[in-house]
Amino acid sequence: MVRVYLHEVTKIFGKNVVALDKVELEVKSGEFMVVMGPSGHGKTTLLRVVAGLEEPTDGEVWIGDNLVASPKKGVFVPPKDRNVGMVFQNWALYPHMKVFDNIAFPLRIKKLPKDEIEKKVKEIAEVLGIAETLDRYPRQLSGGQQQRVAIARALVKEPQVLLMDEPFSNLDARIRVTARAFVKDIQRKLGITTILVTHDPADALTLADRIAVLRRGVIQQIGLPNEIYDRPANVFVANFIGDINLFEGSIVGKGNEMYFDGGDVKLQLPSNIQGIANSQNVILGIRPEDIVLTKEAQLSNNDLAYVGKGIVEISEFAGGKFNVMVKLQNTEIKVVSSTSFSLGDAVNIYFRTSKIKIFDKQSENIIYG
Amino acid sequence: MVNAKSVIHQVVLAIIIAVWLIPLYAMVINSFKSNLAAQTTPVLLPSGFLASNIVTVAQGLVYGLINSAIVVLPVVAISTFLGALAAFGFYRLRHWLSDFLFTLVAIGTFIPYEVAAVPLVKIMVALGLFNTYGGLILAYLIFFIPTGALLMSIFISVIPKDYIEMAYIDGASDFTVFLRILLPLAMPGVIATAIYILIMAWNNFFIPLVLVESPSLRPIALAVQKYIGGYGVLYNETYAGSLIAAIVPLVIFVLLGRYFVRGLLALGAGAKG
Repeated sequence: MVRVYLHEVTKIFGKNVVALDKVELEVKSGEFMVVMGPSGHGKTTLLRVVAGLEEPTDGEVWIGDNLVASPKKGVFVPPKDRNVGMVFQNWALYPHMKVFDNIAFPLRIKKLPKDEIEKKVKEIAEVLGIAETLDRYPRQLSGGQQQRVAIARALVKEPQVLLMDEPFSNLDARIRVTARAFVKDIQRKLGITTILVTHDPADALTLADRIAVLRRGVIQQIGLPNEIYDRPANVFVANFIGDINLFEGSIVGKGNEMYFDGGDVKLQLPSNIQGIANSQNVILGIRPEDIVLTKEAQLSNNDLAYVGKGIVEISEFAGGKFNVMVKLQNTEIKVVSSTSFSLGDAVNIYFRTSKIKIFDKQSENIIYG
Repeated sequence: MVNAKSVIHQVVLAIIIAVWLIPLYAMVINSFKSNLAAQTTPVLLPSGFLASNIVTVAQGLVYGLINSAIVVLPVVAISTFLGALAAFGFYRLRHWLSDFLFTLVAIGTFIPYEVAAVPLVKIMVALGLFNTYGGLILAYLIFFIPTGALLMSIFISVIPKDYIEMAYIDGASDFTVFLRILLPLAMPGVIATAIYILIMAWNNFFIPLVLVESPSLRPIALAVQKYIGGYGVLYNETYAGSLIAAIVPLVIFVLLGRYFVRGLLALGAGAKG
């Protein structure tokens, strides 16, 4: 297994479309790295740069100990010599070849003996559960099967690196969960260094050993899934990785008595808070599941900060939990609750202070969280 | 409203078909008239059935058909294949130079044969290929490889790029990608291009006119004209000769026309996706 290392990789299309801006990313050997970001923010370009389908404008790309791209040093290894496996978003199964021939294609190019090709194709098809589809054409398969064929084709040549471009976006929601578990399982079994790009936080959080978040070609944060979720580097990451309530306001008080004043939303901040000053303009973030609602008398708990009394506007069942919208004067707050409420219920709103995130209003970078 | 529209649609189609078929129809019925009838009866009315015209003319023209086959078949194969290869080259090399060359090829396709006649003859004489099958084949290739490249470029441009990129990642070389991925996927286009070149080359009159002297080397289009010239104007046999000359492209188009249409449809489908 090898590591993949992108050093200050920049890719500019045409004259001034910056797809990647000094991207610094190290994927450790055997690691499952998920690169996240909205469409058009450079994820796919990053993958294509690693595959060799795009030449970076600047910087270096390393696969293992091999420098595979460096415009400064005049190095560019074409995709066919990089030994990477790739799964495209639409899988790109060769439509004129049967499944067997699709999977065998990389091996035939390597000119392996016929019986060995047959053995390897059958082995990988067995592992991926598509052995019975080998003599069919791709168009005769279901979406899930097509994806497995694409993965089989990517893996059969025993690549050093596996690249996956939005591999789940063409699948039904129901199959997607199984497919994710399956991909994770295969990756773990083979221990292959993997880079997967997606815009779906669910993919990232369930699959990744580490997540890298891209915005307009710039890496915002690289970290463990729970780090990204609980301590996002900035408002963009916080918002992108999952639902979050954001309130603009300012800090009031000092020392152990600090308050957040966001107009409707006011609360006392934990006493250990650091890095903020009186009258600083900030954005306070809290995820819906970190808010507690009660109809009864006020709770006393060190971790809960009382925010106010709101009215339940929406309460919908979402399988084992309830998505609740509470209106606190003129501010709407999203809450994920384990208990249900009726419309119009008056409820006490508490924020879990340990889960509060405070961002600087100007830079939107995290100050506390 | 939809109905009225489709009726108009059908009527217009019928008129266009009639305009195209009337000369063909005239050719067929006049081929079977006697010489006198061909001159005295209205051209669009049948009169009698004389198969002997066809037999006589066919005996005189069979060598033309053979010559055409000898020259045109390699031309179709080579110019389609090399045209496709060139088109793939243009597709692969995204560079101003390849754009420039492509433009040259496109312009070259539109240059009339007549403009190139004198240099063409000089080149063939210099190469010792004047008045030979080889010279004819080479001359056709000069004109039809660019045609092949131009048409194949269009067909290749609608093949989803993913398949080609995937093949490179799978480890394929350029030539493997061309042979194993591109050609099979572009097959409707390859067939359409081959049919087009076949019909254009088969019906070509000017190139053999300037490059061939010996009657025994004349392809069919030239042979028909010379045949008529040799015997004075026998209208019925003229029609019969034309019928024989036209029969090969006609049969091919009738048999393979659906592939031609499929090629054009592939363009539409690709453009949509």
